[in-house]
Amino acid sequence: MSRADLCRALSTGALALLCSPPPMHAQQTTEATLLGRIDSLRPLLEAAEVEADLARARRAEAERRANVTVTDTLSVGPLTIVTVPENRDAAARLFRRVWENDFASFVGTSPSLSDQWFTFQWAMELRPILVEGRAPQRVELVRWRPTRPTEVIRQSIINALADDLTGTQILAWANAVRTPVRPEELYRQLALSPSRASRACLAGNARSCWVGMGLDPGADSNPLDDWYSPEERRALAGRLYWSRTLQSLRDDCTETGTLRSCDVLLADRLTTLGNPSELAPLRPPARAALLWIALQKGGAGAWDRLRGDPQATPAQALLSASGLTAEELSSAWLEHVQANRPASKAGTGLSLMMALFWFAGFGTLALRSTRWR
Amino acid sequence: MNNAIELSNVRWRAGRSFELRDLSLHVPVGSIYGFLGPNGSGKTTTIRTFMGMLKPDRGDIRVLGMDVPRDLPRILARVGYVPERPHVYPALRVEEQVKYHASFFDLWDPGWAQELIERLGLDPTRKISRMSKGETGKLLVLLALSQRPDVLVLDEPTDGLDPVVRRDVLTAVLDYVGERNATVFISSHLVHELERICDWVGVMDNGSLVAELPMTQFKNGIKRIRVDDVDEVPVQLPFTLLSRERTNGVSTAETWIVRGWQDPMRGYFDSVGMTLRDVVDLDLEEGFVELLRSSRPQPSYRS
Amino acid sequence: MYRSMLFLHWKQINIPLIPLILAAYALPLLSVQGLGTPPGMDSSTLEAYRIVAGAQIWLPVFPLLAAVIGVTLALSAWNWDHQLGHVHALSLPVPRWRYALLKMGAGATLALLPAAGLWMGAHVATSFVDLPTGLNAYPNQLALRFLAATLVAYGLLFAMAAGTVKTTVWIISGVIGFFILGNVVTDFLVGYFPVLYRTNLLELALEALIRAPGPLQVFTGNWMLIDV
Repeated sequence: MSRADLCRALSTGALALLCSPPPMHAQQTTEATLLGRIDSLRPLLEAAEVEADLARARRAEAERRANVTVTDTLSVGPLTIVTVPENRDAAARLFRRVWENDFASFVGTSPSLSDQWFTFQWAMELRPILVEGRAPQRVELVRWRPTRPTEVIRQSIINALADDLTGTQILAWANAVRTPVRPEELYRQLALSPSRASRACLAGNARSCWVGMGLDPGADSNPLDDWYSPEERRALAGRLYWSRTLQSLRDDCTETGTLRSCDVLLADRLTTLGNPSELAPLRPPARAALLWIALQKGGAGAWDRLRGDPQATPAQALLSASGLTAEELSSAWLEHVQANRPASKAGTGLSLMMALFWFAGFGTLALRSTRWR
Repeated sequence: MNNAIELSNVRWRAGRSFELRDLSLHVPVGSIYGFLGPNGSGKTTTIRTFMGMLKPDRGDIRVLGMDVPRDLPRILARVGYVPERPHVYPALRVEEQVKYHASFFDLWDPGWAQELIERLGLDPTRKISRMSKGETGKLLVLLALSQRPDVLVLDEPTDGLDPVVRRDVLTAVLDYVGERNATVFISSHLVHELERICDWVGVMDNGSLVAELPMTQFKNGIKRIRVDDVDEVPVQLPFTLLSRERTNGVSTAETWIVRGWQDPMRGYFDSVGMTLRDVVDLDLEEGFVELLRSSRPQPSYRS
Repeated sequence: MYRSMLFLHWKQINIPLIPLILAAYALPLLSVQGLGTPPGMDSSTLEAYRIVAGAQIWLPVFPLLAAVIGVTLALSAWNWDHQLGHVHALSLPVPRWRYALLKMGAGATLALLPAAGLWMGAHVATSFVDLPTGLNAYPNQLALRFLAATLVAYGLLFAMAAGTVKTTVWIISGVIGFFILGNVVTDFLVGYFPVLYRTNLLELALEALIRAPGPLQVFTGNWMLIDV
């Protein structure tokens, strides 16, 4: 065998060896090795991703700082407002108006307002306003949006104030602190509420108003009976959602008319609810109005008294804030609602006069109809 | 007041297409004035101008001695108008339309209106939309006459009507005129119809009044004459030469259309070395056509 | 003259007006259908909000019907005159302003008919419903508002229809131009009068139209037959 032949043979043999599948145990070893290598690389990969994220964040921050809007900071009462220079006067004017009209009389100290800043912009196009280390309440008004600025400011202050009540029962009872609805709407809700308590309230029984909002129904009384007549309880049970296990009771209640079944269902719901006043007929809009009346009646320090005792029941908190009795406070609320009965009389008064005026005006234009055609 | 209707230098223009140019028109009181002209000459426009429906750009208009448009309501109370296109409401019945129209005129004569309904053979209960053109034409005349107007303005009142209806309409008008001595202003392009009834004639062409004169003068004054030995036409003629053309290709024989002809003018031709062969009367229609031809720019010779 | 004008307008509009009168009568009845007290139940237990919610479904139809009637009356007032080129009207011995006034009065008189229909229907409808405490019926007020809205729509369209075609084209072009160009112009002016950036012309215009004392405020008010 010549040297060339030998080399050729050895090469072929080596090639054959290389190409031939390794034996099973050899395969397993390769796979394990590969996995081991991958596993060893994983921390490196994760570290690299973290670095990449950091780099991106730094770059974004650098870009943002490069484009940061020039701002002014001003104070109105306890409020700190960051705005663009051209909006400074408007911001001061509007915030001052809202604060003094709606909050200054009863808000003394507020931890939330101390921490919470506000931004204000009213422009054709909004620019980003950076507030370091805070998530401010943003009041941003774009030209074409029809929202009134004072309403937006009012709601933003309320949102900030609500943080003061975190964890209190009054907050759960009011289901968030909110801007009171228009009193005409309150009247309508009261009149249309399917509840004997609401009807008695509308008829002038201030105590019924108090009870209807789920405030201190009395230890011995059944709140459901205070709130709803038997037929109303049946209607209420029919409106609520029930799990499958309670469906037969629901059918008894709504279809065969067994009132006892209705009461069982509602009693079960009362006990399972975290806040029983959720079933009370006078809903959060009415309660928000009562809250604000209590604060206004309470005057200076009312806000502090409202949140003074985190364990206080809603009724206790309201009475503490207002300095009134339950009867006095609910009477004040009822008076406010009844004084703002909506203008339901559809066709008389100013509306009709104006319509007739316009009719006469258009008629006058018609009399100028020319004869030259 | 000599003229029931008087327009002085009235100008009205609609876009670039048509205008009334310095129109001066006089309708004597008590006359039956025939307003002639081809289609599109401005007859209806002229009527709408003195009826106060179009505002002239310039000029004065007086009807019955009163100013248009200042005294228009008073004028319209004494003017009966029959427009070119029916202006009655198609959904009404005859009696309803009559009653509606009557409510606006203090001088309305209900008895006369009833008589006209019967005389013209109209069915009071018939809906106007179902009436024929002739019946509608009669209704329009009835409405105008029943007002007892001092001036009747009729814009092509017999256009499209059959001869029987035309006769009925014109008879009713003439009867009224005879009874009341009202002034009638009647426009038409049916020349032969006006020839019988009008005592004045005005001729419109292309927004201008080309002639306004008594009917007899118009009819008698336009002649066709045959003249021989014509060498050169003298500048001064005792009549108005409207047109001339060679007769049958003969160089010295011509046919002339003249206006203002009088019989003694026969002698004139001898004095100028021409021979008058023939004088032919033209009827109103022929005279009207020749008058219009002469008023439009055209070459002197036609062969 | 007025009676003749009234008769003429009636002849023009009687065919479409009669169904509209019937619709005005039926509308209050439709709005309270299914709201009667079920037998054996005390009306005080009837849910007031169901009555009001049921009536609210029909709420937009009242002003819409009033507008339709007003527009129909207005367009029909001038329709025949437009078709005939106003020749008859202009040949009458009546000043133009007086003719227009008579016509307008005739149409306004006819507007009473659908309002009367609605008034009757509203009274009949409320007699069927046993109202619980806190709710009241307002048939008279609803009929008055309906009449007022009809007259406003009638007056507006009557004035437009009385003019020449050129006038109407100008008015409509002006309105469209305002809506299209209003914002464009304001954008341009903002550069010179910065306070304008807080102004939305379109919003202001719409508010001026639909809120008191604008002409359309009667359409956007309270149309409830039964309410608190």
